[in-house]
Amino acid sequence: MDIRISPGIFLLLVLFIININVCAQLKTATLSESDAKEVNVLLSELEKLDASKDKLQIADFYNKIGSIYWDNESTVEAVNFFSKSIQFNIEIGNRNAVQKLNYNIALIYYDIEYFDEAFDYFKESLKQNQDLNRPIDIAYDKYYLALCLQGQKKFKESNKYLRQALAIVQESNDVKGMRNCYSSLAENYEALGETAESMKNYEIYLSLTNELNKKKISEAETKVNNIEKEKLQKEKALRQQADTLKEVLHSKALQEQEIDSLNRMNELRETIIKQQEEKQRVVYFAAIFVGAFLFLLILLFIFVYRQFRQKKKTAALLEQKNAEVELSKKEAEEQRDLANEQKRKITDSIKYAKRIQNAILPPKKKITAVFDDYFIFFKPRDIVSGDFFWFTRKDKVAIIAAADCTGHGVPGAFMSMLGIAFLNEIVNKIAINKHINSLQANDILFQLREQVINSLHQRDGKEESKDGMDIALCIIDYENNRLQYAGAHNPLYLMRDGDLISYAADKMPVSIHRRADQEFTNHIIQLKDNDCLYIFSDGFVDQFGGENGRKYMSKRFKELVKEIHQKPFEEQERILTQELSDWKGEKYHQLDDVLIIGLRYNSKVKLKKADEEHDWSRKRILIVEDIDVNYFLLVEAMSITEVQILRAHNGAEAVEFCQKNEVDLILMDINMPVMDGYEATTEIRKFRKDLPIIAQTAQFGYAEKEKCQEIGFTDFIAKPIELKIFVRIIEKYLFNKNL
Amino acid sequence: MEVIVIEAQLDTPGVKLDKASNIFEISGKSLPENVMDFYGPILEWVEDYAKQPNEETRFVFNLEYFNTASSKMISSLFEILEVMVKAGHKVVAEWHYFEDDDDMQSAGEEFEDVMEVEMEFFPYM
Repeated sequence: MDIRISPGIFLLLVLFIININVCAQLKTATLSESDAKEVNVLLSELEKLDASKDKLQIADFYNKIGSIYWDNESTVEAVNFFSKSIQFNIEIGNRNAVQKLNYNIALIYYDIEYFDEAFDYFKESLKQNQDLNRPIDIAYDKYYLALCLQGQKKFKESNKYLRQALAIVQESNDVKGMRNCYSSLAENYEALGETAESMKNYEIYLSLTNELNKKKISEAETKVNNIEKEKLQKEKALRQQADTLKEVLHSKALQEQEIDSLNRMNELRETIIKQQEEKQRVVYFAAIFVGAFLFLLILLFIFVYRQFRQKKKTAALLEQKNAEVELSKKEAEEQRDLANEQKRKITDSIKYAKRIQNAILPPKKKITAVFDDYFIFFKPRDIVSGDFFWFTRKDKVAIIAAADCTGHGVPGAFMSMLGIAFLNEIVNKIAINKHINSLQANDILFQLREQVINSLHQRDGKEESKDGMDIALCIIDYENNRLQYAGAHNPLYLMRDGDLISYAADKMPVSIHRRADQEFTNHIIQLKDNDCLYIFSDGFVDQFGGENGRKYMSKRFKELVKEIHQKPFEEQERILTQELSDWKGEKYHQLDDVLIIGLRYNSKVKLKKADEEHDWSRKRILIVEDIDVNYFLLVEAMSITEVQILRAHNGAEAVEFCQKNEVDLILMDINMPVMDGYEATTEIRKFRKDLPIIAQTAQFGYAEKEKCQEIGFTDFIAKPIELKIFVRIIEKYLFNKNL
Repeated sequence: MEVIVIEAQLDTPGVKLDKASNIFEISGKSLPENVMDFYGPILEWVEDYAKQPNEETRFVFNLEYFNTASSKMISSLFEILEVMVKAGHKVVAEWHYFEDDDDMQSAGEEFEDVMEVEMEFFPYM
């Protein structure tokens, strides 16, 4: 059998491949033959038209020619013909076409990176789209304008257009458009050196890309499914065709049988004819056979080609999926980094809060000036603490307290700040209004409880917070060798002559409670030299650990105190630190904040009297301020000075206070209810000409300053207050110092 | 009424509330990060129970440690027991504590002192 068909099929294949390649590589600026022909036809048609009558047609022809040149990447001619088309379209007022043509020309210029020209044409297109009120087209014009500006390296202006474009595409939920805008924004910011901003936009771009990819994958999947279905259908059709072919062959065989029998009947008569028929039959079968072979080959080719395309598709899909996986992995990593970053930020801010807390806790210097043998073992569980200690000195009286607020960490720290501020306010008020000797430990706790309840609005109502604090507070009177102790849940241990005396605290907290109207017990103890005092929070005794994971418990703590109380207090602190660490071991974490204060009483301690000139503790400052937060801020700002602070909530209170009491300086807020700062100062000036009165206010313009001087303010401090300057100004007027 | 059984964890106590078997018990350590999350459902259950309590209710407290925030919740629990007492029901709070643990004993005494609920103390070795 002669098989000359296969080279023919090869030829077909080769032609087919060449054809594909030719299409892909066509990039010359000259026209293809068929296009050149078409252009010629159009040009000759154009010549027949009347430039004054057939404007619409002329515009259309120019457009068509321009498009052909554009398709052939012959940019100069394309722009030329599009421009001609624009002229005619303008004449007939076809704004839509004018816009499209401008846009096309702009795209052409943009493609060849003629950004100046492209910019002008996009601008034109934008103008028309704005006239035509087509927001989506406007967005794309602006996007391309931004790209042109980017090409011109005008990144900031480019961003302006991008933001405008973004606003529009966001409204129409055009994910692709949004993605493009964010990508360009990221590029611009990067070029501008604003890395953070760039990263931000890049992240959005990534997430949008992800979204788009998801869509694309699902589309690709349905496409693949469809192709699969089609393939199955085609296979089925082919099978059916083959069946038909078989049938045809079968019926031919029947026919042959018939012919055979006829032939047998006319054997003798028709020998020659029979031979001829036989010959024809062979030819016929050969033809069928060759046809079938050809058909099968084509089938095979189609099959192989489909297989090849399918493979390519699958590979592409796989690649896309891999990219997707890669991307989500990257995203997961980014999210982890983000979480770490957030954690770091929070930790940083808490660490900063710790600095503030440390600053507010009494400075060591102040305590060391009074106690010669003492320790404060302070070990917060977290960064900031719910336990706090408080110390102050009024003449020959020292007051020290160890407190434990509800909760630990940040919530505890909030409460501890409140506690410190309240204690300062309460003790200063008592010390000024009465004689120092009238200070009572239980009275301080009573007032502290009032303040906590009032400020946290703990009155009735089921939902109120029951937050508050436990506290042990000691007033040590060096003049009379007398100790006062009052406690809320936290006891006092006194070691004397080897015996431990435990002074029980009242079984109620400093917060709302059933017995919030009852007074705390005031223990009065005559002190002897070498008496050792211990006050503490429950963090140490409640620590889990040891062999059985039990609490440390008071019993064991008492024994330890008995054992070590004669050692220097610095060493006692070391022992306690070690004991806590040993007790909890590796297995247990610190349960709560830990605070233990210990001190040895020594009546011979000469309380160092500070230099009169700089002894702030003898000075009284009246703060006139209606807002609590501002008041506390001022109190804290001056806490290191030990100055005595009093408060009035408005001008009227201030005037009344000054009539009855001595003060050394007034810090006056301006805007207040009842009576403002101006009026109050005017009143006070009537009877206190020389008293320094310093205005403190947030709004401070020239006019206010004028008014302050006129009324008789000594000076003014603008809010927000700068700590160092603030203290120096106060010092200046308090001690008549020159700055 | 449904039965509440909560296994003790590192920071939360074990709880068993069973009206039919007349068992009411809370035991272990209590220092949850958020007390309301843990005690909210328990208080709700007891409040519900208080409307139609058994003839005699013995509520067993067998706690090794509770933090300040938990103590507010336990005091809320006592307040509900108190309501039952005032409504004329027989209620006893059993306070179990480790013999050496003076702090836990005194915590129980404080509840006895403040609340109008009959208490029985059970120190154990």
